[in-house]
Amino acid sequence: MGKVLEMIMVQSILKAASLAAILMVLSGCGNQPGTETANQVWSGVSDLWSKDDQPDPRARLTRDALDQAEIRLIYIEIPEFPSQATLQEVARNRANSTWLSVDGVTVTFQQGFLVATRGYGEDLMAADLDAVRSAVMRGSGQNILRVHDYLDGGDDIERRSFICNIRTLGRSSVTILQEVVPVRQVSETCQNPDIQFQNRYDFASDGRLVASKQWISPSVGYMVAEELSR
Amino acid sequence: MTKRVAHGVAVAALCASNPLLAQSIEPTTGMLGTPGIIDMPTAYAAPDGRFSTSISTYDGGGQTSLVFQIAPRLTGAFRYSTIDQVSGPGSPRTWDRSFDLQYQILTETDRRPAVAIGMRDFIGTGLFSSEYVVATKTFGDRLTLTGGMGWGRLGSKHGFTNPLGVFDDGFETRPDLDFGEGGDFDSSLWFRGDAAIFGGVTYQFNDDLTLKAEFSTDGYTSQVNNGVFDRDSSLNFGAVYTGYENLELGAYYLYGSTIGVSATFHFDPKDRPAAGGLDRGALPIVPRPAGAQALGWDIDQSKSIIRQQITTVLEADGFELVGMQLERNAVRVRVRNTRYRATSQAVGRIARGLTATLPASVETFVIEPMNGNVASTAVTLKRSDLERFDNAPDGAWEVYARTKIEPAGPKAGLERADNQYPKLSFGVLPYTELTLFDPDRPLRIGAGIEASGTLRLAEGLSLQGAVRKRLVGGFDDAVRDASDSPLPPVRSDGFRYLREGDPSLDYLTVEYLFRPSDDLYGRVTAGYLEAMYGGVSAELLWKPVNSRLGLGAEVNYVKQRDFDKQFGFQAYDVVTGHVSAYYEFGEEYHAQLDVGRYLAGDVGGTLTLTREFDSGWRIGAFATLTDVSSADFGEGSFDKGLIVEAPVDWILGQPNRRTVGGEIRPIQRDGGARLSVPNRLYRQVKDTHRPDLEARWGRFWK
Repeated sequence: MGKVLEMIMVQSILKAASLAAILMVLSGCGNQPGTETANQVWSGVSDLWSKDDQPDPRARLTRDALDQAEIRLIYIEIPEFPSQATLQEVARNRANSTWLSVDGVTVTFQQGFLVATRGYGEDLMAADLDAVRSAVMRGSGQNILRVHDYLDGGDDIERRSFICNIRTLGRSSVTILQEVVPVRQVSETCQNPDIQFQNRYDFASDGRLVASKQWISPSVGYMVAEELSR
Repeated sequence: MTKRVAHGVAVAALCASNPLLAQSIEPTTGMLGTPGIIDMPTAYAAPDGRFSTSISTYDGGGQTSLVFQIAPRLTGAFRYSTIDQVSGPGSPRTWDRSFDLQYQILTETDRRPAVAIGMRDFIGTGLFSSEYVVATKTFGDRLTLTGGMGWGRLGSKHGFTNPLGVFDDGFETRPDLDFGEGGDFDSSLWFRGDAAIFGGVTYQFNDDLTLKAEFSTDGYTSQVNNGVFDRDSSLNFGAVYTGYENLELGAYYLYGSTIGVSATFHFDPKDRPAAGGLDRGALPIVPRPAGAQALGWDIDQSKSIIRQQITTVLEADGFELVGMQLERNAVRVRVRNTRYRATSQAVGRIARGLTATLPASVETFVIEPMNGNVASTAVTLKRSDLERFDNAPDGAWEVYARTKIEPAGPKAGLERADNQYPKLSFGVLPYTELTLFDPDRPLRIGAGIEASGTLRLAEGLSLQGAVRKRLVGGFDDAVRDASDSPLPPVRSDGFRYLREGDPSLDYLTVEYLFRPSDDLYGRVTAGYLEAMYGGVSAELLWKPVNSRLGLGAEVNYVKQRDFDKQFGFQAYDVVTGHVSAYYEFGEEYHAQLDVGRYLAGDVGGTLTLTREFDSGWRIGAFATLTDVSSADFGEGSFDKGLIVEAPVDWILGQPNRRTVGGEIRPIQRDGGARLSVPNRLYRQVKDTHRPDLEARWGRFWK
């Protein structure tokens, strides 16, 4: 998250260089809204200086402990920033489950397929993946429609559609919490006139989607996800 | 007459839609910050809505410009220029403010060039004033050619007899510059006197570098005559580097004798650096188990527990529950939003919080968001729609289509949340203050510490104040005091307040806001209203929730405060007030007309035109004409200025309701001056009303 802020701050500072008015909000204490502004500026500035090397959040977890835990966890990595975190499941609605990180990021999956993010900036507001999902489950498909909703600079929803081809890559394995899980890998290659990306889905033998790499947006890039709780 | 023409041009521009065929090369800016070659203009327009700040300098002077692409075809600029040694070697420099407008008459197509008409310095001192018609055509994807005819300063070299003379001999001579107090529309000069043909070429060498050459018809006559500028050639050459996003850097070889450099920053109010924003995820929708609606619960026993839970859940997201009315199947909550710029986003987050706290039988949510101290709108949502369209494609519009937006309900029936009143909020923050355009020193900055607080005593009733102590910078050399005008010095001795008012009591008021009926809002404020005045202010506003039109009236009785900004008053007092009309044209254009009596007792009106982007940027201009003559008004002839406000959430990427910026006046005089009362009603209520809610509804699920 710090990196996200950093990226945004660097851009903003460049763009806002001649907005000398930013000086108006440097620091402070109290409980007025202006104080919140000051703290936002401070945290942005201090993030610029702290080069935090986060430890792998999975390092403290064991399979046994997690199998007995009441909570459900997922591991998420954003290589572009980079950031990595474990997120806890906090809600289920219809076919969607929503997961929350300690710093307020939420991601929502529909049976393992990413349909929404919050807290990354250029978030995926929602997605229509009905056609993609059944093709990926099947392991093949040509010219399948994928639809993403984003929020633009004028606070309108901006819809981007992609045409996707889906094929099975074959058998492989992934290591989750020191455990080797055999998987069947499926790839989804999507494009529209401006953008191209390739998602990857790893299915365990019981059909569960245990790991994946799914694209969010141009500036956030991909999300790598691992299902930690079974 | 000519004023009406200029107005017609502006209206035509506002109505012009996007050009069918966009120009194929993104235009670069010249020395003046506007789309141009170097000193000469091109016929191109900047991308719609773009706001630029530009600085350039050459051996002999320089300028700072604010440039705004008001509409797809209409470009406006405000410029602050300096000329060194204006009256000859060793003489001091002079400063000058000016405004430009350019309107693109024809957009470019494959077969015809873009054509534009423009005026530079059309309401300044006229020192730089010129008019032109210009055509620009792109050849291939790298080369542009520009040719045009200029008058005034752009016809001051290589000029010939004005061809417009065929219509009227009067066009052939340009009257001598007699700028009087300056700042007026001096239309007797426009398109008169000698004309000259200018031209130029730009070549996009690669993605980052554009090369330029031009034939200039600007004679720099007064500087050349005074022996402070060598104009050895009419050819200028330059290169512009565009490799950094939103920044253009230019270097030029000018008039065979000198070099110049420029830097231009571009801001696109429609393109936030942080895209949608870094807002943390909201509480997710907590759906009800099937059949749970039928389960019974004791409404009276649960009420206070539920209210407590809602308070806690909303507080975690920065909201404050003000009141709640709970029934078996419906809830009405009044909630204060101090964090989210878009009210739609606040409503969406409050609604999600409610799904986590309310019994399953409660199906209807009525949310009354309060951005200021008054609730004006009730947004009615169905809980089952929220459950259904949570994370659904196009979920925001799906919900909007099923949402009712109505006037807020009465205070009666709402149970007050605990610990509402009295409630104190306070803060200690740094502040900065600046003065611009004083010829003695064009920019002064001061900074210090401000302590401010609000004590809320009841709904609508509050006490607020702020004190400041300056720590850095000074205004001791700001000595241009009370103008020589015959008007009472109601604003022109502002410097004296800056010099003597430290530490200062900036404001201390008691304020009461109320809502006499669905569409009416009232405000009464008394105390030290602003830095220079204290007294009583009363305002009434009519603004229906679903309307684009608002009407208001305000009357104030105020006395001028002592220069030390403590508690004392001077002798001058005045009754001042206005009736106002506010209209939202749609497409982000807004107008406000105020007619009434100003601080110096003068009578007249103020027209304010702004473009308010959905992102929160607000850019515009205002002008005030009163019964004070230009001569009595003094320098500038009448009060006018610009408005530039940038939302803090755009800059930081974090949710925030604040803006930075404000009004920029070329000069502050005493005619057409208005009182600055805190919390005027219109802007407090407008952003919870339907036009604004709808424009930003995309943030509902953010």
